[in-house]
This record gives sequence, structure tokens and C-alpha cells, in this order.
Amino acid sequence: MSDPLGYDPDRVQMLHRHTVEAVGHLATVRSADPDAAAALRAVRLVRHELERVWLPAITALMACTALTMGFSGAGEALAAAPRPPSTDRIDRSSYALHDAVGLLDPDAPEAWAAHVALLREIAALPYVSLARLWDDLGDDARARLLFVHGTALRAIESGQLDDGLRDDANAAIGRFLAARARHHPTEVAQLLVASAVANPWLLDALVAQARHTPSDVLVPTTAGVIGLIAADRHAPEALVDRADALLGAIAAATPRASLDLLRDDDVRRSVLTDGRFDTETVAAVVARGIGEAADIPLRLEQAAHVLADVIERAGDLTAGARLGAASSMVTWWPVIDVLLSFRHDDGGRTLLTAVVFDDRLDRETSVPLGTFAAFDRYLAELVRDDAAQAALGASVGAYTSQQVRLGADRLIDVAGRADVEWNRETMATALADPHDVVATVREAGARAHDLEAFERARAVGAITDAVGWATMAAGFVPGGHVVGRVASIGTRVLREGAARLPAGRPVSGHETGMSSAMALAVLLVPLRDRRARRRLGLDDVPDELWHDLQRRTGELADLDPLSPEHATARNALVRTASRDQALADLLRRGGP
Amino acid sequence: MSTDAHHLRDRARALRALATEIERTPAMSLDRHAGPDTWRTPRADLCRAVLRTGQHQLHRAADELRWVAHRLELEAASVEAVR
Repeated sequence: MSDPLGYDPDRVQMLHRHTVEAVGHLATVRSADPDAAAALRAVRLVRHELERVWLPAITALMACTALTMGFSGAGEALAAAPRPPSTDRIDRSSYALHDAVGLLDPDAPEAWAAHVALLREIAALPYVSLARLWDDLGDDARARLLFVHGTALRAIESGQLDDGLRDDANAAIGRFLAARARHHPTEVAQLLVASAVANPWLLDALVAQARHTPSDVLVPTTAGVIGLIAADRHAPEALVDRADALLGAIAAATPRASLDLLRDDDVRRSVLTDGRFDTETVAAVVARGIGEAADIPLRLEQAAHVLADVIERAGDLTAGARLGAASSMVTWWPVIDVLLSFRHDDGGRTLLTAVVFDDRLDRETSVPLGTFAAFDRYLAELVRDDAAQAALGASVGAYTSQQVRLGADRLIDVAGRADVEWNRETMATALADPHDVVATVREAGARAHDLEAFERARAVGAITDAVGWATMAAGFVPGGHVVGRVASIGTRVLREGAARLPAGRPVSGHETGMSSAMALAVLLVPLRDRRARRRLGLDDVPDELWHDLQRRTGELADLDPLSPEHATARNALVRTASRDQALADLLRRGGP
Repeated sequence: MSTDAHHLRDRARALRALATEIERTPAMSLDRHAGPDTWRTPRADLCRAVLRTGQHQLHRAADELRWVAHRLELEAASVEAVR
């Protein structure tokens, strides 16, 4: 345990006196000899440090009573000292940095700690001041500063410095880099890639500040580091770890960042097929890049091109790429569903295309995703392992759920007809596409192995409304250094959700939601048409119940059909109706 | 002895005196009054480290001055030898 904080007032008084004396003496050291210039500069530096660092610290300490030696209170004088104006802090930090960097002594570990302490002060500066500091330091001092950071981190990793200093050091340099990157992203990215092998800690610093770093730095830096790894079969494990951290930072940034990374042909090939990268991190990048990014209208076409390449590489995909691709399909089912009924045409040689509308340019683009035979092979690869199979199942379940709700909403919007069959037909149409999707997966998967994980996750996906689970998982993790776990949270939710289902439960349990939607479709007819009640044998149903059901239907119409509240309200409405025997009989006859 | 050689030796003497003065400045012994028995805070650690590096730099500056002085004396001897 370290010594308690504290000071001896008498000794501090004496220290103050000696310091003033030292400053006074240094001020008298002079020489006109030009060869003494360097020595006098050193003298001025020391004098300046004593005036600007020592004396204010001692003065603040003398004014503070909380840390008198032997006093048991916690805290430190620094915290109690009044903060100088911000401009002064900038000057002091800049000056202190010049000095500290220039005087770095690799043989003095305690000096490294002092440098980290200085870095901590710098980290407290606002971004604008940090950007100015970059310019103030100049090339040489800046290079030395980054060297200080690398030296300190090397000392931490070798156990010569307290591991607790790592975050301080990385936060300071990370903020320093992020501040510069705001206006000079290319310069910073090139610097980081160029020093990735010699000073990989700079990448740690960037990741530590990833949330405040523009994606036009994160993406090229990550691409550059992945390029280094791709070019070297024996790339150091430490560098691969940094690439994983950067990929995690990309996944935690906007979906657009993941898509931008994957649009680079060489980077995409590495991310999709190089088994050295972390499985779940790759899954997160792929899921966000070709799944969530495609939800951005202007990005759908770009994402479709990436998806086409993923489909073509199906046989070479790593487990992470398969998992991410499977998760992303929740975005693509609505895009390709209507085409799936043609999957048997021409022996599978027909092209599956994604049709992309660009409202801004009022144009329509068809992006070929591959033949149906290639798509089948792709699906067969996705269901090779349980994780990807479960993710695929969840995507189908979520898509089915969405279609059910949209179908029910359509019935409510058009006020329905006095025809139970019409309502059922409308709902059946809404569900036809998901049925095609399920059939396509089952046909592709039947050649691989059974689809238990798919079917169970499909049930979970529908029951838990798991649309956009990757988004949820990403939002769940706010920070930089644990972002590599983004995907694992999402997949864990799915796996555990699937595991919680009782073994004996029919795997078609996701039809619970579909069932209530179909029941509502049936109920809407007598609810809106009194004459239909007689025709359907519902004369004895109390008026109060009809009023209650109508009120609930009105409330349902006000809810977002894609919200969980909609599902809850719909289920409650059907439960209420089922308490009446005649209505329960109707639902049994008219239900699915 | 030439004026040039005399001037060079004067400069060497002055630089040696300056080196001595620098090494005897109270700042070089300030650390004796600033140990953990005086104050123990993170800022104190920082101040001590800054002082230590400053002292190293002053020592190096003094050594450099003596080296320059040595070169000046060699130069003076060279000038005298030529004559």
C-alpha cells in the first residue's frame, strides 16, 4: 500500500524559501559568450519550471490544511488549488511538454510517471486547445511527445510502471490525436498506420477515444492496419489485437463506418476470409455494414454490392463473417422476398437482384446479388454452424413478425369488410413472403444438416421482436475499449433466448404473434358491421364487450405497428374477446 | 602569447566558471528539501521528477561548457604552435 498523502507545514515553508532562493540565483546566471547559449537556455528552463510548476504547487499546498502530515483526511493539494485561467493552462502545458519531452530520460522510470502526469493535464484541455497545442509543439516536439507515450506504455507493459497509468496516457494521446483529426484526418490516419508496428500503443490511444474520433480517421486507419496484416502471414499477434480493437471501434461507430470499411475490396476480402480476426468483432462489422447501413436509403445500393461479394465468397467466409451476414439478412428479406418465388426457374441460374430506388435522383437500380443457385449455396454456408444459423433464424422470425403487424395494421386502416375470408386473405398475403423465405432457407439448409437452431431462433425472433438486435447491442455498449463485444451481446441474447424455450415447445411457437394477428383480422368484421354479427351467430355477445373491443381497436390504430406495445395491445384484445364463448368459437373456426 | 590565444583562454576560463556556478546553484540541491518527508502528493512526485530532469540537464549543460572550454584551450594551443 502506498504512503498516505500529506505534507509537513514547516518543511514546506522551508522548501518555499529555498525555491525562491534558487529562482533568484538562476536569474543571476549570465554569460555573453555565444557558446554558453545552450547552457543558459537550460538554466532558463529550470528557472521557469521552478516559477511555473514548483512555486504555484507549494503556494497552493501552504494554503491547504487538509493534507497536514499525519492528518487522516483524503484528497490532494492539487485538487484544492485554484485553477488558473484556461489560456495559462494551455501555455503551461505546452511549455511543460516542451521541457518534459526534451528532458526524457529513458533510464529514469519515475520520469515516465511524471510525463504521464503531464499527459493527464493535457487530457483535461478542450479539443480546441489540443488542436492548437499540436501546432505549437511543431514536428520535432510532437514526435518526441508520441515517443514519450510509447515509452511510458512499454514501461507499463513490462511492469516498470503502474498499470493504472495506461488509461491516463491513452486518453491524453487519444484526445490529442482526435483533436488533430477533426481537421486533418488523413494526416492522422497516415501517422497511425506508419507507426502501427513500432508504436502500436498509438492505436490503443485512438481506440480509447474512438467515440470522439471521426470515422474518416477510424476507417482509413483500420484499413491500413488490416492491409499490413494481410501482407504479412506472420504479422505480430499484438498488431492483430489492435486491428480487432479498431474493428470493434468501427462497429461501435455509425453503420456507415462499417459499410465504408467493407466497400474497400482488399479490406473486405481480409475481413471476410482472414481467420486471424476476432469472430464476434467481424460479425458486428459485417452485420452493421451490410445490414444496418442498408437501412440508410442512399446506402442501400452500396450495401447491395458488398452483399453480392459476400454471397460470391460464401465458401470462404469465416465464422464471424457468416454470423454477421446471417444477422444482416433481416434487412434484406423485405428487399428480395418477392423474387424468391422464382428461385426454381431455369435451374437456379436466374439472377436474384436487389432493386434499389433512389428518390433523390428518381431512378431505379437493380443490383445483381448472384444466381439463385449461388444464393442457395450462401444460405447453406450460413447454416453450417449454430451461431449463424440462429442469427438467420432470428432474422426470419423478426421479418415474419414485422409482416404480421403490417398486415394487421392494413386491416385496421382500410376499415375492413364484412367478410372474414377477405380479411384472412389480406393477412395471408402479408405472410406469403415470409413463408417463401422460410421455404428457401429450409431447402438450402436441408442439404447441410437439420435446422433446429434456425427454427428455435426464428421463434425467439418473432416472440421477442428482435428486429435490429445488432443495433440494440451496439447501443448497449457505449464505449471504445469493450466494443469488440458488441456482437457477442447480440448473439448471446439470441442463443440464450433460444435455449430458454422449453424443449417440448413446438418450434412453430413464433406463430403466437401470427395467431393473434389472424384473430384480429377475424374480429374486425363483426366489430365494424352489426349485420355481420347476426350472420356469424354473435347476437348474444354483450354490447359492453363490443364497446370495449372497439375502444381497444381504436387504441391499437394509434400505436406504431412495429412497436412491442402494438403486439401487447393486440394480444390483450384477443384475450378479452376470447372470454366470450361465442367469440371464442368464432376465433377457433376463423383462426389460422 | 598572441591576443587570439589569450582571448580563447579567457573564454575557456569564463565558461568553466559558468559551469561551476551552474552546478553550485541552490536549485541543484533543492531536492534535499523536497523529499517525501516534506510532501507526498501526486503533484509532489511530478515536481520532483521535473526537478530531477532539470538537474540532469544543468549537469549536462555544465559538462558541455567544460567540453567547449577544453576545445577553446586546444585551439589556443594550436594558434600558439603555429606562431
